[in-house]
Amino acid sequence: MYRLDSVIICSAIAVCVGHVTPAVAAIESQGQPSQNDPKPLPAPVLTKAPELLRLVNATYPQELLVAGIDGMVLLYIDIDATGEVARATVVNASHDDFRVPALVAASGFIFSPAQIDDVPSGIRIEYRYVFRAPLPIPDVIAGAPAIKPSAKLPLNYYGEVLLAGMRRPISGAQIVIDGRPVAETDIQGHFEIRGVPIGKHRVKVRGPFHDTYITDEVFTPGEALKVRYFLRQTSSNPFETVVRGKVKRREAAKVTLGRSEVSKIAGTGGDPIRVIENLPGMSRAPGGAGGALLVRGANPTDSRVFIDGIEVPLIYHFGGLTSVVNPNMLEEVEFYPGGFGARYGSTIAGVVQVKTRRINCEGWHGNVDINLLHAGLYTCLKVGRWTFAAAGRRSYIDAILPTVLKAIPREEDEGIFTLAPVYADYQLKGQARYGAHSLDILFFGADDRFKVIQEGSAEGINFEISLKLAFHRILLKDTWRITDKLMLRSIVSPGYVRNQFVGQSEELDVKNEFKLVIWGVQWREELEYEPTQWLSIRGGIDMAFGGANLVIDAPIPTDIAAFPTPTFDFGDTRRFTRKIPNTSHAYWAEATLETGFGLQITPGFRLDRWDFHHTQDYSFQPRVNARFEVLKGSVIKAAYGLYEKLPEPPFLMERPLGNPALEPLRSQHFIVGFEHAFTDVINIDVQLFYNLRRNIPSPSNSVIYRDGKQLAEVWSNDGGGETYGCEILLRHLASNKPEDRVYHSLVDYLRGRFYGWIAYTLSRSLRFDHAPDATYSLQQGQGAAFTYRYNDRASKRYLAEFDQTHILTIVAQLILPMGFEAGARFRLVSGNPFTPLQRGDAYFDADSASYHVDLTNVPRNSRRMPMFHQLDIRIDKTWTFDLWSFAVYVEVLNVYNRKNVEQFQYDYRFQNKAPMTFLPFFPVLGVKGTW
Amino acid sequence: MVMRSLISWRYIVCLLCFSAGCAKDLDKASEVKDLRVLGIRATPPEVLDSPLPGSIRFEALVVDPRGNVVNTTWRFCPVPSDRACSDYEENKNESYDNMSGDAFGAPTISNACNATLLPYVGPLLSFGASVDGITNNRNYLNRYRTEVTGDALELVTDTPNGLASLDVSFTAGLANDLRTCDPTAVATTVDTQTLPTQISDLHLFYFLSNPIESLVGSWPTAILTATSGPDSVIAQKRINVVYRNPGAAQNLLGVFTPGLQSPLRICADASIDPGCLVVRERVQNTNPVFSDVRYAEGESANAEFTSLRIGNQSNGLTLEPIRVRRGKAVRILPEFIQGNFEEPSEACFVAGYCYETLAADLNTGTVNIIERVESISVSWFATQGEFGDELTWRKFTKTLDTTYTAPDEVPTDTDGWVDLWLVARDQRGGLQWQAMRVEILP
Repeated sequence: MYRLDSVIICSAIAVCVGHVTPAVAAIESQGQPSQNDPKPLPAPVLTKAPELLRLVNATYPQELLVAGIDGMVLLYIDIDATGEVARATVVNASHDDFRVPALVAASGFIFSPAQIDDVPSGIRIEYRYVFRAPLPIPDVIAGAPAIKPSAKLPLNYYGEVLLAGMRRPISGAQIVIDGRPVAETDIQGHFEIRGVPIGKHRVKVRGPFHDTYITDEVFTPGEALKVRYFLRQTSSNPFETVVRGKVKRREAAKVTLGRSEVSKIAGTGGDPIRVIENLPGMSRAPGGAGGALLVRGANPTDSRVFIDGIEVPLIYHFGGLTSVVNPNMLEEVEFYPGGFGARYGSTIAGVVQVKTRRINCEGWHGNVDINLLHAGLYTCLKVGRWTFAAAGRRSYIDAILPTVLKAIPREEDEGIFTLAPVYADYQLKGQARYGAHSLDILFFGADDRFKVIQEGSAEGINFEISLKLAFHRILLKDTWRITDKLMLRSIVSPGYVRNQFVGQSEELDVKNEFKLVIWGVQWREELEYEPTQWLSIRGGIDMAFGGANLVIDAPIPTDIAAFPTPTFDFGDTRRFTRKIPNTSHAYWAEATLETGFGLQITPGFRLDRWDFHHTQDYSFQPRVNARFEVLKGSVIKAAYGLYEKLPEPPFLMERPLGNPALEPLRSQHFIVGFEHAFTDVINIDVQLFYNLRRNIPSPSNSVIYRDGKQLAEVWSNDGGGETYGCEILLRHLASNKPEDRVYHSLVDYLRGRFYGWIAYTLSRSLRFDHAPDATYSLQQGQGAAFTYRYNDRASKRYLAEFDQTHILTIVAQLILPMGFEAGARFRLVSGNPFTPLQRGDAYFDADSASYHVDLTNVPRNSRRMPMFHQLDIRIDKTWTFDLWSFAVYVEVLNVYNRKNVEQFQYDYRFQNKAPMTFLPFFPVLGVKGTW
Repeated sequence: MVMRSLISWRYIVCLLCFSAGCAKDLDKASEVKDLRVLGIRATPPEVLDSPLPGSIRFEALVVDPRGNVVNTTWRFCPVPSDRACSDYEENKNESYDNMSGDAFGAPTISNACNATLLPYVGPLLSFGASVDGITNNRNYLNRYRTEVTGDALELVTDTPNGLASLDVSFTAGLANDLRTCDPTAVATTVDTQTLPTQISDLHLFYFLSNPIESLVGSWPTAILTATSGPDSVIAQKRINVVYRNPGAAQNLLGVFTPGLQSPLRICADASIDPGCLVVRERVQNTNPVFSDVRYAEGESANAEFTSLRIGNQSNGLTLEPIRVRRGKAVRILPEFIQGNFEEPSEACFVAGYCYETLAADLNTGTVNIIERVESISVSWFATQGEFGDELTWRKFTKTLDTTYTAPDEVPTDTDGWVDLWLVARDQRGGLQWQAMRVEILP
């Protein structure tokens, strides 16, 4: 039994001793469907990669040996839970004569069992058997005496071969003395040689993916030479540069990104989470720097972000600067643009699931990353049964920016101005295994602060504005594999969010404060049961208990019909406090049925219950996903789902602020698509989608009569919208080519070193506040009401705020010699819609001393900003030393300084407007040390 | 001052948008370069239902430094409007439907046809010649006070059936030849003959259209359209029609249900009506009155101010012109006739500088009375040069003075003269303006 629905990267080294030829195996799940694939379990994690314990040497085809022809055979090897090879199949071979010997040899391999979720499990690996013709016997050429290792001779040469920089053992490395291979390292990288003749000898150490190390060693009588050799990889590990798209899955639309795969994508600041912004289905966030999750035309609040299954209040510092999780702590990021299963709720658009790193730490390792914006640290350590990893980052813009600001010329009496934006985040994780239980403890949090201080102005009026947004959370997870077919995952996570804004001036006797403290516990129980090969069942509960304390000391305009004025009195504060209870519980289940003819269908449902403040609502949401493999490598897929969530909290407050009677927002996702693999590294995914959104809160003119009172309805569920379109993802994965092979052309050369993708989305997103001919009513008593029609503007469809007709993203990454790696990202996106204003639409209000716009006849969002395009590049250079490695990277955003218009700023009377552009040419330089 | 201190925000803004595209070159509101309506004054600015007013005069300060002839048209919108009365039909229909059972005709918009365009009477008008009522100075600046008053547009008292009522009436007439009047849009008077209750039509209209307005007052608007060549400006001014004096129409307010506290009642004496909100008798608001304008050389906040007042005219103070070297700055401080009231007090209410508003308490869901003191703000305008603060207000800038920086070059087309205007507002409808001149020296 093996699993295909996870992203697994690992490697193993073997040596074909018979021919003194190193062979290399790359082990990973490829997600290649097979007719005999057993039913996958959801989201397993490879906790221990299989290691090759017994290598069977392949017989080198005589003709090829004589001709000195090297070769390679790519195999799929199915390893069972005991480590034995259940099946081996040839995927391709550089020469047909290599096929059979490789197949025969692979069938006799013995591995240590792979562990998934810490339980021995079957797995499919990709194994690359490399045939390399042996070197000529040195004594034949040079006449030197042959060295014959023998147990009878004294041990006088031993040591280990390690990977430079990472200090990890290299197994299968050859020790060549005076041109003659005499030994190879074992799994721990150790070797021992007996009877090396006294004197000076030329030693070569060579590994399968590494530079050959050459040195002269002197052997003296009666002494054993102990050595430690470090080999440098000939390039960045090709296994770590595979751009991984979709692995086999139940969902119609899901993309998984591994940390190491996308940590160097240009324009993302080395942040894997930011990479999802380059995928189909994601609209471009305004500002040039990204940040907001704009999934298929929906609002950012319609999508949810989870870390290890627990929702987090924010995923980016300062709304988009960089994510709140240190990239080193990430294992992978899953992105569901729609059509996802019943496991996720309270969202009507997309889901981002961030999985923290499965720690695999022998010895003490870590890295330090320093760039112009922040410094980060990651380290891991194993203590007994527990393995710990810690990561943290802090920005130091607050240390640099004030100096820059002081250097800007200013008027004499403006005083000293200080700007102090600070962000920080941390993650501390421990994991251990006790019997059938796998335990995880994760502490994580983030802290964003922004402070503006004005001091020493001539008039003596100083002020301070500060903004703080922080969250801290503990996550306790137990994965209990009750039997090999039954697993229970329990997650409990208490957390705390603090959001505070303070603006104050002693001289003006003004202090405004907004403080929101949210506390609560999230609890998930997930049961996975796989009774047969063709059926798996999952279900769970998803609960949250908690509440929020809201305190506002602010100039809330509470006057009933306040006369318009040109001023706003910040000192006229009102205190507003609320304790807001918030409880939700959900129950979900889904089953995956695999038929024998390539059809996989996953029906499910979710039942939600929300209790928020004065609002109670239920929701039943059926969902179904289906995949049908029509041909090998070609899959047709479809999905439908009903998704509901409560309106955002401000809409549910008491009147006159909100309307607790609002119903849940509703979205229906319809998806059909097609996947096809052209080659082992090039594939395409095409999806057509239609999202129908209803119950979106809209301003209401209605007055209702309830409990003897006339009440303004304030908000109604009259709003809606729809988004439809087509998404195309054309990917080129990296292939696992050995570095020292012979390349026949530039394309051939690039093939092993290039990866990237082209993502294109063609879509339209429409909104309406009220349906055509919608009415509102003024109810004056029980049953007595007058009904009126909304005006045309209120009941007309218009383009959604983030409607972008064309979204084209091209990402390319190239691994270069000498430790260089270069990447680029290019984006071409339709401009966002906006409502054009002109002088004739505005009138002067003599009481408020300002111009107002009469929007009655102005079509909403009827014009577009100019087309957005931007090129970003990134170059990395890595120097690898014996004990550590050092990298320098430079990332340049908006290389050609395109002035993309993000907004228009109007003058005071809406007569003239000026385009506002944001991100200019912006270079970031950083260094990274890894040990 | 804070406003000026907030200039530092340009650093923030530019940093946040990486200085790539900050819109720095857009016109400022204080720059008067073409046709502008700088203020509309209603006298009185507030109408109480007891006593009822005799008439209201609307005047607008309209300027065009290019010297073009300006035409004006006035309309009166009998309902509060957020869109210069373009939403009138919606508002009217709602109420009209509500009132249909009473066979009551909703009021309609009316044009005032005999608006008068008058030369602006400023402190120093010795320059230029007056042609057809337009004061001209080398044709560089036309400044008008366009006025609607008396027969043109007035709120008059009427007492059908011996009860107090409020009526809007317009009479036709063409006082000047600046425009023609559409007779079909003139002279609409609401029908008060069929009123089933002893209230006026506007009372009923507002009460049924918006209960809140029936309690706290309503704000019918006067709409001015000014045209100058191809340019056109629409401006609106509200008057505050207050019904909630406890001595009048109190019985109608008892049924008000704002959703916060129901029913809400107001009264003058809680002993008579326990549980009611006790409000004071309201003193009718008046427009602010300038008492002086002072100036000081340089930008220093501690400089000594000197009075510019040399006399009074019917439309404001007569001020001595300021002389400033090009590129240099002076500080200008307006002063007003206003009691020295910083906190609400009995004397303040009697003097008419304090007033009450109704405000919701969001924590308890009740409506409370808030006592307020008038607080004057000043908007600054100039044909050339810059102000440190375009708006001064004691709660925001501590003092009402600002810095005026003369242009870097002497304006040759006006012989070195620059016009300044100060427009003062009391935050509850009262408005007043003052003009002054600055001579820019080489």
